[in-house]
Amino acid sequence: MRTMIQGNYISELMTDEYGFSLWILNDLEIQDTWREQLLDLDVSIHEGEMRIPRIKMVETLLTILKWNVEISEQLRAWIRLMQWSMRVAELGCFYPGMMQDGNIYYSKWMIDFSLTKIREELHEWIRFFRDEINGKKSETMVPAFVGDCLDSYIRLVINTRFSLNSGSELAKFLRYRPFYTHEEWFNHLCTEEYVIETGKRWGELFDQVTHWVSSKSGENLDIGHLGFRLRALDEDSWYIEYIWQDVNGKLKGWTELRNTHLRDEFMRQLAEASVDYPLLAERSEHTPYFCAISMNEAYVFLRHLAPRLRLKGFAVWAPPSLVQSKKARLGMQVKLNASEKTYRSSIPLQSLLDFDMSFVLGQENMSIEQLEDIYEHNKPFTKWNGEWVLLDHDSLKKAVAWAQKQKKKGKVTLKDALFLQAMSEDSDFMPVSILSFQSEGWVSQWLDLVEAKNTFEPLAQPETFQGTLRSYQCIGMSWLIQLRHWGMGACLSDDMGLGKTIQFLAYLAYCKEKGWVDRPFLLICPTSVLGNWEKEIERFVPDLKFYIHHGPNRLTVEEFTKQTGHVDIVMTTYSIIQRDFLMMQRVNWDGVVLDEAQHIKNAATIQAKVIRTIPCDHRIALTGTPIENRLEELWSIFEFLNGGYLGSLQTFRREFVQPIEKAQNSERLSSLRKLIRPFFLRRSKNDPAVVSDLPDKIEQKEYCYLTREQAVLYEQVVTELLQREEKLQGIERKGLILAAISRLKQICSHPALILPDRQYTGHVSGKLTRLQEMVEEMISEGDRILIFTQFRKMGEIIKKSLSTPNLKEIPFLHGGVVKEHRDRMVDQFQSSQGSPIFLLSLKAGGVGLNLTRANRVIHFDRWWNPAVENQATDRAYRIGQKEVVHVHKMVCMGTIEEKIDQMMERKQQLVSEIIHTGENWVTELSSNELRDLVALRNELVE
Amino acid sequence: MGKKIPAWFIQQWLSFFERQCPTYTWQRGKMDLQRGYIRQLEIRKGRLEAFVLGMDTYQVEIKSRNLSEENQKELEKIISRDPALLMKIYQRTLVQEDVVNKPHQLGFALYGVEATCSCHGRGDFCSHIIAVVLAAVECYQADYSQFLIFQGLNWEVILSDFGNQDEDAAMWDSENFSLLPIPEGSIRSFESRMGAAPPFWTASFSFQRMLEEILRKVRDEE
Repeated sequence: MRTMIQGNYISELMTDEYGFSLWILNDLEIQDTWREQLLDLDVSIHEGEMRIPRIKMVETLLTILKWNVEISEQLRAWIRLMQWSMRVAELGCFYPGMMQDGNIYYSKWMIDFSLTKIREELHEWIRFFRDEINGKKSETMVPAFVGDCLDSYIRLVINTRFSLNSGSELAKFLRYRPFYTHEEWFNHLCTEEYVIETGKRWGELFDQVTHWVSSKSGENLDIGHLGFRLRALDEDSWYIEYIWQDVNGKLKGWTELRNTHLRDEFMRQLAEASVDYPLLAERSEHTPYFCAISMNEAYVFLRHLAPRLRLKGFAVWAPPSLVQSKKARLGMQVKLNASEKTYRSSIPLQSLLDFDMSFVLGQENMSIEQLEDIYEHNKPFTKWNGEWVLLDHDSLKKAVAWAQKQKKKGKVTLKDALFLQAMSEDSDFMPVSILSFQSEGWVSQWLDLVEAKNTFEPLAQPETFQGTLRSYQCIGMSWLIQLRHWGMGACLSDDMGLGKTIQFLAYLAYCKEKGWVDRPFLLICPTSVLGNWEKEIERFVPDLKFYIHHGPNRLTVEEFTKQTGHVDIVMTTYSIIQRDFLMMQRVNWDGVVLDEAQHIKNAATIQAKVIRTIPCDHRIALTGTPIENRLEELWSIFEFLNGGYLGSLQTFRREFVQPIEKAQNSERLSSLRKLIRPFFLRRSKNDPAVVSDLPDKIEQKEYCYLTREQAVLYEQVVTELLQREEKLQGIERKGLILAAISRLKQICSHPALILPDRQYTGHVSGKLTRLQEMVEEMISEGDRILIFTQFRKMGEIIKKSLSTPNLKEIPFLHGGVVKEHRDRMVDQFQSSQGSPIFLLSLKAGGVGLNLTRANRVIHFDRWWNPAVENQATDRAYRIGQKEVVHVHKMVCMGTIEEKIDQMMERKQQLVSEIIHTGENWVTELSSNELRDLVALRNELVE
Repeated sequence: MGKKIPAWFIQQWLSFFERQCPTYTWQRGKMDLQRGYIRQLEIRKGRLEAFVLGMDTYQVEIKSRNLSEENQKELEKIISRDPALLMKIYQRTLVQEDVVNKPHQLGFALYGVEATCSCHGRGDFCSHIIAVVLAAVECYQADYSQFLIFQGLNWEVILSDFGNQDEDAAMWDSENFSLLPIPEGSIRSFESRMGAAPPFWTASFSFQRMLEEILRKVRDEE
């Protein structure tokens, strides 16, 4: 059971030292540490009651808030009021003042009630504490408590946040011994105890201070305030009634004010209000009851004068319907009806729908005719179903014009309907907000997609798919299939590593199984991932026949056309498509899929233009980064997927790019999100639904090409090795093989590792190019990455190639780094302050470090011992890791790297036994075995 | 900024006394006022009373001899039935033209007063009386009704009768109304009004800077 503390404000009298009392409600004893804290604050503890000195009220109540205790409802209310007092102080609503009790004078910080909001909130607090407090009225106790808290808080600030040794004016003043009475007064305001003063000179100062502050505080707090009430008896009879609101918030008319003093104040305040609103004086026939005005004058009063009167402290009331925000008042209801016959699968966005609309004013429905009638009436207010409503003529005009236009058309296209749905809450875009959509027929499913209500059931994965799709991947596949049925392009934009490739492959396998596909699919991807695709197809859908249209020996037009009749998928690259687009345009493809679709982000490039012209039935874009820099990139991808959906580029710039990028219009951004939602599926690796589906660690291979230069060097080393090894024996042969293998591995990484003196420009390493692409995408997803390499020189090259002006310096931990520096690197990476990339040499960084801030691990080159690689991976994948760790192992296709990798995959156990000692086992291979291991498969060169 | 010209009846009030006392008495009275020697100035029906500090504390009383009781009642009735007039008095926008054709200029005309001071000085008006006369100007300027009260009008009667002719205009029912919100931004743009140093602050330390420093610390801006 926890200690429960109760508390109450017990005295507002300055002569009482203790203002607040606390006691424990249950039988528990107060802890010793708490007792000590209270005694430090001069709290008097006697028989379970704790009395807080008035001057320490804030500090003590703040201290109690830090304890692990239950606080009674009453005490919690006082604490909230204390916190309100502190906010009042932070607003600057205070001044240095004095209080008098008989012939005793106290210096005290006082509240400045000149802000209406502060006065009204205080009245709310008085009403909240409506019961008697310690036998006294809340009207007395609440303001007194607030005053005590404010004074206590400012003294606390002065005594805890100022240093007497600072150069501030206050510090100088406090170091100085006060001479005049007013200096003593200010000095007393800064002390941690009330100094009692008496005598004539303090009486005179009190008069002077009181006179000075009288113009600053809300003098009328204790009397009440004049308020104005706007009411209408009928269209032509509008009135501003004068009402007195007393300190309890009770409303009274003039006849109820019997006290002359109140009547005098009433008139005084009315005269003050008439300075802002002279009509009150000019039309005084019915003063002091009301002022008769016209509807137009009522409009001017409500829109322009009432806010000014509110700022000056007057209350202004009006019918609730006129006080509500204007946008909520006029709304529209839309009905869409679609029959099966109207769906045009070839151009779905142009399918026509029956369209009907009605308007809602206040809570009631209104026909277009009634809306037109009100518009023509041209009055600022209209009475609608018993309520007065304020009309915004600009929006009314737009709404009427829009409604008339739509009425004439009678039907809308699907594209228009999706726009309406997406933009329904966009106040700048729509003439009137759409309150509800009713839909019947196939269009309902579309609208559900806009509103993120995915109603479709995930399909079972195809039988020809070798592997198991995770449930979110199954959803991705089903979603692609659904959009295929509708004839709409789809952008699958999952985070890197979530398996966009296999979702597409499952989709294709499903379509093939169902017999929907009789023509090939065209895949366009960057050269760097072509190998990955090849491997993924072989692994997951081996039945799928593919042809890679790439390299200098690619097929001619005739051969190509013939070949496409025999395969399920043709794979090519963005660079080839630019050259061979005529060839591609001649084929009627089942579909076109773009991997790393951000390659067409610039809509004006030839590449993007020709890709848009390739004929097909279904278009798919796969990309983890649909927008790298500018919103226009999204338009380009959508223009490929569903041409015309986002309008022309010019329209898109005007309606989305400028409002979102330049004016930071969040409403428009939200509308755009809704608009693209049906065709856009993005799951983050941190989505709870995805995380629960993923293992703690995901390993994947990243297959890379050798560049031509790498391949030539590789061939030279292999040829030399095979020529020489036959002539050597024993230790010499072993030495030769080991040296050659080391050189081959280096060539796979970068030619500069074996030919350091040459100048390198452009992409000379396929692996490095792929690494750059991967890292760029990972950084954009907010990942933190460890990159391991076994070559120090390679580390330097990677560091240089990944360094950009936007990134902090990439740390590189290798054997030459001293311990102190190494610890600092680790601390910076772990504290997330440093670079999101950490480069490590496998030997220096592979063991002993805790780098759990990383969620991606990349093995740039392979160590042929899984245990060593796993140890390095475990720098991130260990206790303390909160995210899924993605491990990427980079392999150069067609090289010794791939051979060894395949051996490790096939015979994990055996290999680990053979190669656990390193690379010596290679030296034992026969010449033929060695040839098979190191020979380069030329077709896999870029 | 130019000083506001006093209302016509205040000018009359001042010239009434000024022309009946020597310049040096007038100047001494002015100095007494500037030194803050006036205490407990009170205007009641038909009279004005105050204490003036000096060698001793002197009691000053100025009585109005302008209107008969009957006149006063007549004027009270006129004012209480004329909302426009009453509004102008409260607004302090009343001008001489508004009253010139009204009976007794509605009480704003000044014909005669009787002033006494406990100093028993020579002449009609001593410097203490002048000091109180000058102090009364501030009261009249701030509230025109104070002059009419001095002239003997019962302001309580006026306010009590005001509106009685139009009581039917009071509209009360339990219809639902909502309070208009205070415009956004008014709180954010609030600037503490305590900055200027009080007139009695003669210390060499900047009052304004000290308060600014305290406010910054309260807001925890440093």
